[in-house]
Amino acid sequence: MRWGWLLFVPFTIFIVVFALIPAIGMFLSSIITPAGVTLHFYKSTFTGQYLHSFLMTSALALYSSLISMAWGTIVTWSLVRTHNKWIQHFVTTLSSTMANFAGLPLAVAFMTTLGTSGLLTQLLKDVHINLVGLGWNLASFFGLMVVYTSFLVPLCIILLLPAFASLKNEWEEASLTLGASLKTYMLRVVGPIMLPSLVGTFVLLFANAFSTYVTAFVLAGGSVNLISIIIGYMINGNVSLNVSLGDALAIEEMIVLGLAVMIFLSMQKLRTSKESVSSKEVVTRAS
Amino acid sequence: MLRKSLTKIVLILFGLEMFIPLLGLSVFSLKSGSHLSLNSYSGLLMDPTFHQALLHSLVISLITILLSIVLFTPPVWYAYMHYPAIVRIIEGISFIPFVLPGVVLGLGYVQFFSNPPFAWSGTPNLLPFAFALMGMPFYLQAVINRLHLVDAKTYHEASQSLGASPFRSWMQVHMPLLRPGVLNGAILIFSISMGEFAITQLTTGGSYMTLAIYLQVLFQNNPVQGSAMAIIALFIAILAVFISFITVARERKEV
Repeated sequence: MRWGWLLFVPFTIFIVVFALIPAIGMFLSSIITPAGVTLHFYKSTFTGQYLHSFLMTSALALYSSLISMAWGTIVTWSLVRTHNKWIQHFVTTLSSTMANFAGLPLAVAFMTTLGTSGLLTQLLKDVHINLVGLGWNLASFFGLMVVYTSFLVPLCIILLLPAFASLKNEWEEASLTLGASLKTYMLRVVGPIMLPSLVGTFVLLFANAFSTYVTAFVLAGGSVNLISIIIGYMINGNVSLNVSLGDALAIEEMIVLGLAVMIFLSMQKLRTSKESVSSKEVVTRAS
Repeated sequence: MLRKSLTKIVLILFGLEMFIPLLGLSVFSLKSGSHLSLNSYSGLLMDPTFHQALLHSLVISLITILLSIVLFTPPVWYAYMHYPAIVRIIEGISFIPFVLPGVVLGLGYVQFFSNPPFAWSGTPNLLPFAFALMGMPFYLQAVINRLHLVDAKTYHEASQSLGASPFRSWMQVHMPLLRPGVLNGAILIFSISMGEFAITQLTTGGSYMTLAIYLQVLFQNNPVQGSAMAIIALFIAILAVFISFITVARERKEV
């Protein structure tokens, strides 16, 4: 069936033209000048404003994904424990929307709720809690962190749920019958089985936060110095930035995200091998 | 007992966290002076710019769906039937959009699609391709899940050993088998295309009015109507995800 390979041709052309060529082109443009090959633009990205934006983006992504990870794990754990299919379906539908398809409307929702004239801000003012006076500002590092968690926690839930759902009730019963405390069960049975999923989820949350554009653009604009905002402003012509420098920033972002995806994929591989853990293994770990 | 109520408290807190912004948005969108009214919604629905944005978004979404079905379905189906190892490669490729997020892709597109014959930056021509790329992981996963679920390979071998021609086996066996997966993938692609902002803004310079661009501009000029638009956008997204969940649940029952 030689002709079958033809089915791969349009797909391959699509990937090459709309993903590989732009990516490789940006890489070439970031190292080649009329005067020859140079690392000048990469050096520039590690100075002043650009270095600062790299650190700010990383810090924002790190803090918001750590918080979302902690809270998201607790929520997922509780969700699995309810054994209520209706609640589980409801939370998954809501989470899937919030995590994947709601960037812009969610940002708008936060402005109408926690912005300076937002509903909650005004309500709290009526009971003499002045959020703005307390230093609250949606267009700040901390403000963005709060909004980021509102889509990272749902993302954490949909990524972790299958792994948590695969934990068998019998394992817990077996461990507890054998005299293990809940703490022992968590640390010696759940922990090791779940570790790859937890690490994989964390890096994906980090990558998602690192590359977020629309939320930061709508809420903070230029007032928080982030890589995606710098690149976006450059394309829109709001700031005059050397194209090659922008390409170097984009390539650096791709390296960070590429590393995250590689860790995620290798964790996924580890997970499939760990999920086949036998009940006998659980017994040995619990005792 | 204590653990049970703790579980409940956690879920209630999570529910509040999700609903407070949505509640804030809903109330804000109904604000009209000191009382509440649906004026912002009726104003929105009568705005010709809204009609244009809706039409543009629908057209782009439909083109993206067709493009995704044609580009992604045949290779993954064929690989699943004959070369399972290639399915894994395709799954790896489907992670490309995570490495090339909107802003990075936008920067690449404005540079490499600015010369004839593909002087497409500044026009909406790039949008279906960009959206198809971004929706690729969702679409492929939907189709692959379907293939696994129905054990398509067994059907394929059965229809071949019964002597069906490749064309007949495709029309009568594979198409109906794949349909729910394709449908589910198409719904997710639709959801992405209807709400995408970054690429649209960056490759068209905001000149092409889609629902997302309209929402952002409107919210700046008229926050109350902008919030009404945000509610509509959220409604479209939630509805699409909900329909996709129902399709998946129905498939599971049928098999």
